[in-house]
Amino acid sequence: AAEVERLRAQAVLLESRRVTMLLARANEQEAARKLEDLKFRGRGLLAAEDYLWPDDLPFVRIPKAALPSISMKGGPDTPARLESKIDQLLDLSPSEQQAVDQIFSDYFDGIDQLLANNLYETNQATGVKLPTGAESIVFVLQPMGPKIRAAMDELCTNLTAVLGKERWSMVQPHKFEFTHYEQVRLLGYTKFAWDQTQEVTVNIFARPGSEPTVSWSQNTGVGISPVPLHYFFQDQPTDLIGLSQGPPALLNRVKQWLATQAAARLSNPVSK
Amino acid sequence: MIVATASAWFGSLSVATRRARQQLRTEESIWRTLTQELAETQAEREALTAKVDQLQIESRGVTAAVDPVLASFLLSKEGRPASPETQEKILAEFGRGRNSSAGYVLVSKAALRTTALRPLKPFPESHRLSEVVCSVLAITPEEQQSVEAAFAQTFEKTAAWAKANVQRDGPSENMLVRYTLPADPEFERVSTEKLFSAINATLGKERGELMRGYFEHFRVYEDGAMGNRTNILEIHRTPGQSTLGYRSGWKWENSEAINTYPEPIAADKFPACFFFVFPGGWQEVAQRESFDLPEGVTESSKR
Repeated sequence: AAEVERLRAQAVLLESRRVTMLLARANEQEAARKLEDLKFRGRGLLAAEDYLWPDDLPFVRIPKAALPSISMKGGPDTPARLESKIDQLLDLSPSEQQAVDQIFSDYFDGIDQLLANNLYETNQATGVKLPTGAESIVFVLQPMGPKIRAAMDELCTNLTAVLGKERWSMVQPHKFEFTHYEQVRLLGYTKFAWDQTQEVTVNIFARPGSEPTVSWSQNTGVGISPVPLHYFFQDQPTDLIGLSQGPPALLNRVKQWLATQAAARLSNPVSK
Repeated sequence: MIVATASAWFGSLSVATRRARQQLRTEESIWRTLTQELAETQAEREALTAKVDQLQIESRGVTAAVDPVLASFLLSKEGRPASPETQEKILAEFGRGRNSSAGYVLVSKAALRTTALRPLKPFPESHRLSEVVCSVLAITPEEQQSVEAAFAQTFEKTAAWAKANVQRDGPSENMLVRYTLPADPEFERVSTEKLFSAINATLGKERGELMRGYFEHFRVYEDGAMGNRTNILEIHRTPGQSTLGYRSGWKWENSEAINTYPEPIAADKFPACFFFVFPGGWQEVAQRESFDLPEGVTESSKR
């Protein structure tokens, strides 16, 4: 009798599982049917002569002729926004999307590499005289403007090759805005310096019995008087006064170096 | 007596035997019943197990027809709108590369909300809708008429307010004149809310919100965000040169978005909000302030 009861209980459990699976299958089939309905309506929108805005659908049709007049919100046209526009509005096939993704990935990786390869430190300054009694280091960024513009030209050429001239014309950004704001992103607002070598000379004045001080100057001659080194602990939000408009990669390198120097030289960090 | 005893004894024996036989038959019956039940139960169990095994095999061989998140949305009876991710999944399920025709492309409504386009034509038709916004939002001719009437009515009131509130300063050093349209947030709020209340009534909430997004994004070209912030226009003499330059833009209490150095006056650079005061653009300002425009700048700016 115990064996019979065990078998009956097991049978009930198995039957319950069977019902659950049948219900899940029915739901899948219903969802698939509704998706097919949506797909049918979508195809219908593309072909409709009397197209009206579909309030009840999560998508709409827009004329390809309108694409050149459409931009992506959030700022000026840059490669990042171009990538978003192509992704959202061009309906690429999977292989085309993969090719475009690779092109943008190569571009952004290439830019990072360009900056890394052209930024270095030295003890020789070309634009300023190093102060006596200071430990000085010169951070140098080679002229990046032409290299960035060349990389952007290559980006556009590669995209044209994948998209074709007709689709490229639908998304092609305004060239001045495109190159200008990408250079602003990478090189800062100091447009006059984009095509020049940029140097930031940093001087640490270490005096026995008192806190070291820091000054910096650019090869253009702009600089500041010494300030306490503790301003540059990692958690201190100190800007590099006079340099904040310059290339982020260069300024971040200077800030990291100063933070390292502050941590190494100051035994009792001053907290805010 | 012996016979009687024997008879009694045999009688008892018969009864006992009958009872034993009855019990045996009963027990046999019970045993057969139980055995049959056991066999039936085992058969039932085996049948069910085989069936479930079969279903499990079938379900392993068939992947889910629809993405589970998408299925949940499709089967929901709540009527909630699809999230941006779900909208993209839907288009992906249709097949990337197959959601367009020669002339059109399907775009999720979520993606459309991340775009910007100029909704209005340049001055002096700045109350008229652009072709691109009409095509993207599928605005019918009747809807277009109604929306343009709403913009015209609003801009008429904006122009009256601007003419009544514009301030003039100057000259001062190299600055010939400064015009200021001060901020009046309450005026701007009431005016804009009324405008888009009328537009929403015509286009519906979805398209009304998109239209408003486009208008706000390109406001510097539409009405200069009149009233929402202070607008200034300055005309400057360039030291050592005969040319004139201008500065224009927005001012807030602690910041401004104005070109630092005067830029050359150009035909297509007249600030949008000042058309409400000077419909003749640069020419009207030049006549009023008695200066000569550069060569080529003789008409109202068109953008």
